[in-house]
Amino acid sequence: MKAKPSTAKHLMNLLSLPVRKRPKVGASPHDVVHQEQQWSLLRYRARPQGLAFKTPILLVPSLINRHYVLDLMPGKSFVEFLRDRGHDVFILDWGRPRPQDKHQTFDQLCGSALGRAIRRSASCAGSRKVHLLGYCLGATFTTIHACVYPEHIASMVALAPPISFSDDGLLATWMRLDSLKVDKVLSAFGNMPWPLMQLAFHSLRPTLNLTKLVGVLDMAGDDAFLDGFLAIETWGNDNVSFPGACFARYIRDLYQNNALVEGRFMLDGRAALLSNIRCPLLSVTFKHDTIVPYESSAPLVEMASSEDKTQWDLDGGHVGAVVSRKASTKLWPALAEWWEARDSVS
Amino acid sequence: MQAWQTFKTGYYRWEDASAKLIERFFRSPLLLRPVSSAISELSGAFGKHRNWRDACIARLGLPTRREQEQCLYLLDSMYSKILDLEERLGNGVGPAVLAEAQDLGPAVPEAIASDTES
Repeated sequence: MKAKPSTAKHLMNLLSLPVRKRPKVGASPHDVVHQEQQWSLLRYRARPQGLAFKTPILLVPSLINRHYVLDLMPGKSFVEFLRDRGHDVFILDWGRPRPQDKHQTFDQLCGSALGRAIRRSASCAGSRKVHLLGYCLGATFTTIHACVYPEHIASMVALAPPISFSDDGLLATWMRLDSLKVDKVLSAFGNMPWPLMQLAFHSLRPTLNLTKLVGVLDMAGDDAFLDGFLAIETWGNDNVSFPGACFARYIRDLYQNNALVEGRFMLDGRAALLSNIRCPLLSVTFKHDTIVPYESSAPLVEMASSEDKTQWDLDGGHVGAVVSRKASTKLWPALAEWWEARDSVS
Repeated sequence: MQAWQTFKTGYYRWEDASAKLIERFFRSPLLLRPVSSAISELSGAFGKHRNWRDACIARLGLPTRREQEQCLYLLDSMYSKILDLEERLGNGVGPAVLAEAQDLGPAVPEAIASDTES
């Protein structure tokens, strides 16, 4: 049992918090195996004993956050966990959109860029297919891609995937309002500015910052907690804008027309039908997720044609459930076991 | 310590109830509509200012920011097309790649091409 920290340490940690050394984020050793426009494909170096599984895992994070949420810090990294179990892990770092990237279309990012990342990961690993994991908006992208280009996908895991946009949550309600002129915003700024998106996310849980403060006051004596807290805060404040043309289509076709669930969404001129998904599929939703509620994710498993498909609805929130201490003992091993059971299938 | 525990329990209860209440208030079109309109109008004004600035720069015969962005984007797109071709060659498609190159679509996306022409 862990000893309770003294009150003096508690106070010292609290007082020194503003100048406390920030933990190094995204620090797992890796190589950039491909770079194109603003995005790059990273391959994490294998454990010293070598790989134990033949099919690589490609992680696809959300476009609007930095990729290192899945490689937060040593000892608290999903990537490190998978690597230590003998997996060959790749991650798609979407990068920061440059001013010229405002022209990038949904097809270019979801079709070409993601397709190249999948093929490169497979060829680097000497495999024909990859296990694909999408997180949040990354899961929307992997889902749409898998509907149209299933050739190189051995299996798909979708963490908190926004699939249906017909819910009456704040984000969906706001994006459907005709008083919000997305074209005016994009015409002025090019890419969708991250502060505006941040404003929307903050309004989903306006008391979140106060709750964080109470949490820190409560746990300040725990160094591991504070390091984890600072790492997640570093990530949470390191936001990126959304490429303009891609954002316009995302809002129009998905939020306003709910085209993916209704079978009207097109990628590269081909219909992205959820029923085209036939690979092993796992969708994970979180009970306290205010960003992607269960109803938004449920149609993925309901509509996919996969014979091997599973839905997990777990405790936790949108980010905490994926990066917390509890995730490292529950969710991560469960995901690894899910892939390992399907490794010989591909 | 007991006081802190009592405060925490009370706080979390209050937070849960008030967050739901505030979220319902934020979701109301009575609030969302004016906020959306304000964002749209401010963006519109900023966009007009940018257009005016671009027009001034163009009058001097200099490339505008928008033109430079288009140019860089086209270069990026061409680089991606080259990578597509390289990938097809690497896959042993061989001579067929030249024929298939026609299926890769225009080097300049239509929306940009028309924008550039205008």
